[in-house]
Amino acid sequence: MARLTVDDLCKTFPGSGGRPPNRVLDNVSFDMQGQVFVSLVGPSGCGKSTLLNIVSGVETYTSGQLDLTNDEGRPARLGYVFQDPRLLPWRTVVQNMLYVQDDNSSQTRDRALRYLDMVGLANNTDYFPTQLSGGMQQRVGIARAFSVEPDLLLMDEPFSHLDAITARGLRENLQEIWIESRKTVLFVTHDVMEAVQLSDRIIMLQPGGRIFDDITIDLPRPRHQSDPKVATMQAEVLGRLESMTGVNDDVSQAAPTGGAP
Amino acid sequence: MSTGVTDQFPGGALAAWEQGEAQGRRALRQRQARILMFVLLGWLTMLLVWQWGSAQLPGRVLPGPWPVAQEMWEIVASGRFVRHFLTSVTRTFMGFGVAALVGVPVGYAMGRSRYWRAFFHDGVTISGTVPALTYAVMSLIIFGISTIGPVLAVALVSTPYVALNVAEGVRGVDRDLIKMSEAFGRSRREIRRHVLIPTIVPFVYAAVRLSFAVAWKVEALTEVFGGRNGVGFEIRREYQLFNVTGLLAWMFLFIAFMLVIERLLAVSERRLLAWRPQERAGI
Repeated sequence: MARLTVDDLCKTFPGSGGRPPNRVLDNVSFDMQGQVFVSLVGPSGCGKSTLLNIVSGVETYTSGQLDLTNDEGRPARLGYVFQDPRLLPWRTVVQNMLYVQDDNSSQTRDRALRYLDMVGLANNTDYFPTQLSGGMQQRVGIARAFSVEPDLLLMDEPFSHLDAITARGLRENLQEIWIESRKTVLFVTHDVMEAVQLSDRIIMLQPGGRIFDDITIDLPRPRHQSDPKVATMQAEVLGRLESMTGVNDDVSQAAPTGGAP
Repeated sequence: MSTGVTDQFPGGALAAWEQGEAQGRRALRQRQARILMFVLLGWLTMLLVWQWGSAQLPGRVLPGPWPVAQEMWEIVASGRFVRHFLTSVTRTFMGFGVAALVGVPVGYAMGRSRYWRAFFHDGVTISGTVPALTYAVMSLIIFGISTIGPVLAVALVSTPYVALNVAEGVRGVDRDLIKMSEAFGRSRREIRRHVLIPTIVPFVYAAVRLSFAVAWKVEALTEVFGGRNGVGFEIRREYQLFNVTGLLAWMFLFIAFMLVIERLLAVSERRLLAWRPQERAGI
């Protein structure tokens, strides 16, 4: 498990070709630790993926502070689930799992196989990724991220490239694994329904990269889309997201519903 | 695709699907049988035309299929086939070895850096455009009648193929896979071994298969001009003896051998690249 502290974080991309510099994160502050599932939600262009990249260390930030440590106070070990599966096509499923491990002890191998079992792929370990459907490939991606026993698990819209029915199945599956493993998760999505179903807490970003809202979802797990309590919560969060449009004029450009062509 | 994972079908649909599958297989078999028949008809026609042609000309100018087949058998039975082909093949592969040794690093550099690409590009293009015959003649002039001549000719012909293909392969490396590897803390060595090299291997294979046909001909050609052994040398000897039967026999053995090697390369490629869906489908 990890502790992540973000303090007044700003990120500005320098303007190029005469365009003004583009501020994508504006004084973002939040703090998360322990067995929590936190979602970053917002319309496209609100800087949520950039924030994830900064946390993972791929991207730098302009000002502010970011502190990420594990329980022993050392740098946290990260697991990553991408939008697309990103599996090595020339390695079998189990080889892909072992590729990201630091050692090849039988213990490590057993752990990898256990996570493959948890995503329902125990019988497909020797398949090549191209022999699996897109949803199954993404399951491998999820199992891979869990199997490195990360202190912090970063997920960047892992279900956005899947069809609705497949995504639904994977969401249920992710929830089961999370209930069992209780990892610290930072989950980026633009899907409010998904965020409510999975998260303990939803941090909403608005275009321009300011935190607009920070909502605690206190519902018992496992949560199902059909559950009226979940549905009520989803409606409430969606309502708050829509109220964002009134606060900032820029939203009309970024939100999928509004704006002139 | 049948290799994919099938979902659960309800009983009725599954039965119907199996029935359709069986019908499909039957139709496929019938079509394959028909195709085979046409292949055989093609062969028969070729042999008949040859036989007819040989009957129109004096016997020594164009012997018919039967004497040539007998001569082929004699060449194989006497052990000359194995001896000379082994010599030629060894040289061809030595040439390939040199081509790989030079072409892979050059191609790698060209793929990784635009400056090295600029440095090598014209040289590689020019050396790939030079007619193979020129290489054969040049290496004979420089090295005379020796083993180095043919090896060098083969190397010169194959190197540009290898370099350009490897460059293409390196440029085609999936950046997302490298980012994934870095996100999971893989070392540069691991990334090279598990991402870079597997990306390049199919391109190297394509280069070898492409250049093999040319290299093998260059090898024989060099032997015709200045060999002391090898297939090309044998062909020239038959020419000097005006033994057209022997000439044709060697030529057909040459073709047969070449087809076998091509097949072997294709099979080993399919094994190595089993992860590619088109390899599994047997295309």
